[in-house]
Amino acid sequence: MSRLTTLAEPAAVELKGLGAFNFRDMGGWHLLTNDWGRYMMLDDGEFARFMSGRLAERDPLREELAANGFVRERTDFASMARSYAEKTAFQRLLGPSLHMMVVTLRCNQQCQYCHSSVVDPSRTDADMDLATAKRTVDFIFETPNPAICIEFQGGEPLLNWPVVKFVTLYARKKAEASGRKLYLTLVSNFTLMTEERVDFLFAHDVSICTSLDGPAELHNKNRPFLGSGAAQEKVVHWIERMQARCDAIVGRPFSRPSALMTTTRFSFDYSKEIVDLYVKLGMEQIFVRGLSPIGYAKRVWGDVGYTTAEFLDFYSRTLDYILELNRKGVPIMERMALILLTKIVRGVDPGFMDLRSPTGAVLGCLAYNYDGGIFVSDEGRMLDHMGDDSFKVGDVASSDWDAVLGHPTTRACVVSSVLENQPMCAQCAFKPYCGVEPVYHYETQKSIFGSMPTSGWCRARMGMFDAVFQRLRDKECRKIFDRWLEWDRRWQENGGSSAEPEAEAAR
Amino acid sequence: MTLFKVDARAGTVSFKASRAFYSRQSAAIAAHVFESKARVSLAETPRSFELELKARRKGTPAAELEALAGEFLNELLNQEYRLVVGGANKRIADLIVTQALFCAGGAGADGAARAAGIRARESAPEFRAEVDRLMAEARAELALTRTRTPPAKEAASRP
Repeated sequence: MSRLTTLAEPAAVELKGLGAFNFRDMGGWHLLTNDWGRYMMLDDGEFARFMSGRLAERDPLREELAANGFVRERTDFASMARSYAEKTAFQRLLGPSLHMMVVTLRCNQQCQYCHSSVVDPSRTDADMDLATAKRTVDFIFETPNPAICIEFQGGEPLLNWPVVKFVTLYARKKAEASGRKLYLTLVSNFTLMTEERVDFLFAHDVSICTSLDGPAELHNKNRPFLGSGAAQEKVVHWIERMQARCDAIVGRPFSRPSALMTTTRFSFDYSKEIVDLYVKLGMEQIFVRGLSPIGYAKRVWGDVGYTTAEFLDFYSRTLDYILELNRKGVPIMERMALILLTKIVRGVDPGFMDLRSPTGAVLGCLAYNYDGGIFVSDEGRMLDHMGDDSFKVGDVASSDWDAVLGHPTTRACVVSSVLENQPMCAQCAFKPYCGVEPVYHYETQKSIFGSMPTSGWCRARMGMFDAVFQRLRDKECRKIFDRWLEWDRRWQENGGSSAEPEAEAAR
Repeated sequence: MTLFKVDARAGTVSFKASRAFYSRQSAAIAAHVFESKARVSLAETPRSFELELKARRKGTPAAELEALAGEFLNELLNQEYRLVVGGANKRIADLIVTQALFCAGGAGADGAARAAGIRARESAPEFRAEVDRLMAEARAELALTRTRTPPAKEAASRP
């Protein structure tokens, strides 16, 4: 399908009465969206009648279009403004909520897509030291957002476990003293996990996330382990162990472990097996994530990368298999689809940094390197590791929040990522729900603005929006999607603990 | 139709772009974006820009030089269109940016006062003693970790 669609009959348009909206020919039907975040899916005949002003005043379709802000003289501005405010709540956040702390660059895996952005496990000089860790937490608490999420990243953060523990305890102490809400998350490959560490993480309410690319042969190929044994077995062992512990706890006060998968070209033959493994492990979601040709992945793109069309084919196949399982009563959700549906159907912000206008970089998140360097995002930090510090906006030793926010790079990232300024985005039907990423476009197109007609970022996002909207129009899929949104809403309300999707699916 | 004059030996491709469609600003930005791929020379006549791209990579074949020129024209169009869209949406884009930066800065709250408040709460003797204890414990654990076998060779976790 063409990425830019035009009217079949430009002459048959009666502008008078039309609200401001974008549209897209979806092949047999048209998608209409507006800046309020409302959408309508009209078949081609309905679309032609609406555009040419041939819908009768009392036609139910006209009523529906009017209720959603597509009819100029009948737009309820107060209601539309509320929709807009909810959808773009991230534009009014009091500073970043997500703080990614790279507590070490060391890693004991040599992942196909990342191993140059980490260092050998013996290189303890690439660990965040205690003083830097303390200063980083102090800086984080200087930012004004009342809710703070600290995410431990690496390298492999368990290689610097004492600092993870210290930050957990110190940040909890500071949150208590300042009355701030604090969330903690550990992103680990689990190869160095122990019962004692799980005890600590559960006791201090640290969410746990790992990487699971799929069955052993795929995972171990993508993520070779430098230690003894195979990496995938360890991941599976610890997910099962943590799930069992969660099951044993009445009321499930802890969030279940979650996992991320990264798609390489080796994943293409395993779409069903990957999903089946997630289901077997009792995971509620699977995040089918594409690889970005930036950082180290750019250098090995010929070995592990793929075209956007290949990824979108894999994404669609996997999504269809997930939907098929849901029809059979197996409750598993695809994370990217859920993010898009939260924006489209619920009209609220799911807190996903990559799809924000302006960008989530700095405004929504910051990345802290092991040496205290502050970066607009983790991608910006990875570029620094490749020798380009363009996205460094400060240092925990010498910068305060005002300096980071006022940094020229911060301003440039914000200005360049407003979709209203973007050719093609400004007229795209997916604009109300989308966003661009300055670091990605700097890396791939040598411009933080990017050029959307030739952007891989744009192609991939548009493809995923297409996939979700096409299925949203299908009544059966719509029911499943509504169930996902309900589970997710309850999950959020329960503070991140399970909302019993199994029971709901059975019903 | 745009005509490209290719000189493969010199590694250059020359062409014209109408000044009726493109501004000098767009041409300059496109040249900047292209900086890593080609050195761009720009001259002007009353009706057109005369552009010459000299490929950074030596020995670039004629077909690739022509493709490079096509790519440059895409970028030029992108930059020109950006000016049009940016001009049309300037007010709303400025409002969005201003609002986002204002809120991220604390929405008018006094950052210095906030920091002073935090410092005051954290200067309480109990708080400081607790932090000192956490630091000491972490230091001891780090010292212990450093004296152990390098992690890659650790037996690590089960199974």
